[in-house]
Amino acid sequence: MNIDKIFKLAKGYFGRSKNCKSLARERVEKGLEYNYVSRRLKKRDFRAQWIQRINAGTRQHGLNYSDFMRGLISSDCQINRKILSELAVTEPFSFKALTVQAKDQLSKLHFKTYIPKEDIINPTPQVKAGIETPTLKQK
Amino acid sequence: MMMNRFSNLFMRSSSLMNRSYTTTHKSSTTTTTMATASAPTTVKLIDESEYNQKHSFTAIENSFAVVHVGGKQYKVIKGDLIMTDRLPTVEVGEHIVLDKVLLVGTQDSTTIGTPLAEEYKVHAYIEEQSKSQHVTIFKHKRRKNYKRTTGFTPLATTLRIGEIIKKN
Repeated sequence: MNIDKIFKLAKGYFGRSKNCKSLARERVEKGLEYNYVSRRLKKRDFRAQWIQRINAGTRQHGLNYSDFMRGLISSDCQINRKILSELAVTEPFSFKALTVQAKDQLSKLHFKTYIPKEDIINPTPQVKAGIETPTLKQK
Repeated sequence: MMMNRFSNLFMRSSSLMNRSYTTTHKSSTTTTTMATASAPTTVKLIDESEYNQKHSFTAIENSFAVVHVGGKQYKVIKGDLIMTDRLPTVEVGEHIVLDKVLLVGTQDSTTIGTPLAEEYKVHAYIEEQSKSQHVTIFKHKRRKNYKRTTGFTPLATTLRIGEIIKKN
């Protein structure tokens, strides 16, 4: 990279890192490496934060995050986590409507699955080696 | 500079907080997926109210909508400026109708789309076809004498949101 660009990016650095060519180059290059990584981390970190916010919102209505998302996904609601978390923060009534929709859908689903209740013959599944094996109707 | 113009977008207070909720459930399950749904409809030189009359829509006051534009979702109200990825088929000054609406909240009801609330649409105007912030891509492997610098400037489209409308 051009040394002028390096010094432009090194503005405000500590000590000689903002004035000396070789030091400035080292610091700026390390900074840009972090920048590269952080652009990828940003996507993960934000997603994690959105999930935490949605979880906090849904627990106020007696649902946990995973059940809420299971309800929404199986009712084919494709609003993403960014918007859901924004709604949880700024639009309490719309968010409540979403939890109502999720609960409604969950009441039609078998236990912790995406399988509709009516597709299952034995509603109390046998547990074999810790794995539930619901019997499905033949279609 | 750019951020100042849009800062009101993030700092706006919601005027829609005090309202009761009702959920409108769609009984039929639609098979449309977001990927196959069409691109935003382009409308040339038609006034909002003229469009509403022609296609029998009514504007909904005091509402917000969640719209899907260019692969991303945005929560919008009337008068918002949103910066989306470049929409290639539109030009500055054009009037478009965003037809992928996922959720609409008004003062006394919320409509949740499965996945789209198809009776709702949102007017929008193309304010600017610009670029967003430049990204410097610097790759470096230590002790291997490997350094690569390239840059990337994403193209952007700025939309001004108009009325949120409902099919009569």
